[in-house]
Amino acid sequence: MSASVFGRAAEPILIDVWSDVVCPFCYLGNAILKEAIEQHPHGSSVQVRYHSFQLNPGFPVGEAVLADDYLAQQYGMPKAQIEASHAQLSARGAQSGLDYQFPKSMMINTLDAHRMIHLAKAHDQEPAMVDRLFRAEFTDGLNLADHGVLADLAADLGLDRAEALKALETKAYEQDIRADLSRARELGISGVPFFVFDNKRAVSGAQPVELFRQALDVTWQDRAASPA
Amino acid sequence: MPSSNVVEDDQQVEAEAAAPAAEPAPAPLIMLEPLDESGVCAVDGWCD
Repeated sequence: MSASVFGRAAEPILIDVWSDVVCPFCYLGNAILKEAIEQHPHGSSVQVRYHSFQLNPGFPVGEAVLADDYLAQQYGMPKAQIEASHAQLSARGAQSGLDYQFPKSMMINTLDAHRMIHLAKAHDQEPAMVDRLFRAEFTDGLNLADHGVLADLAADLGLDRAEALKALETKAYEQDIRADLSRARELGISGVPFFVFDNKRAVSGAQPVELFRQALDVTWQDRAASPA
Repeated sequence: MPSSNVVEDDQQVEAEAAAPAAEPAPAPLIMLEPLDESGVCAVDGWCD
């Protein structure tokens, strides 16, 4: 009897991803994870679930500054060091088809952006919204603290713009976001992106695609070895 | 790097027999050994 047909192996591999919209490594890690899933022989049996994480929850809601200015001010990083760091990440991103435009990226409080991800999840559009928000932040340089911008992105995905605006104005999905943050604390997650495979194995960071393939392989083997 | 509820590398998950409550504590996550030292943004906003 084939474990790939019956029992646990017939259920999708669950990958829970904690990430933040202003996290450049989360954009990269998400792209690399997708590569690994596409390459995996059982990639069609994988379900990715996204969870909210805030790198900078104390940043004032509604405000936006250029991320480079924020880095320079917050950490005293010389401009040359910032540019060198960006160049390295841009090169890695290009290998995964990402177009980082760091000089345009904005630092914001991402709580409202996470509301849009939860709204999209309610309409089975969660992965598309995550992708769109990353591209808006790191390629388009949009201000994701602006409710109008967020509602436009929701409408781009076919969601109702008025519903998106209402979700922002009423601070919807607060409980879901808090639950994601609370679970992250329980798991001891102190940095993102963070990937959990079938609630058992974990990968921290935007690691090379080989590590994600390894995580998928061993998770699939776990399932084949476990009783139905 | 996560600081709790996590075991490094491929250590075996501890048996849960000691959990006294009706609902067993979740097993610690098994961290895969990173291939690259960079790639994480920390809670203070620092990315390395």
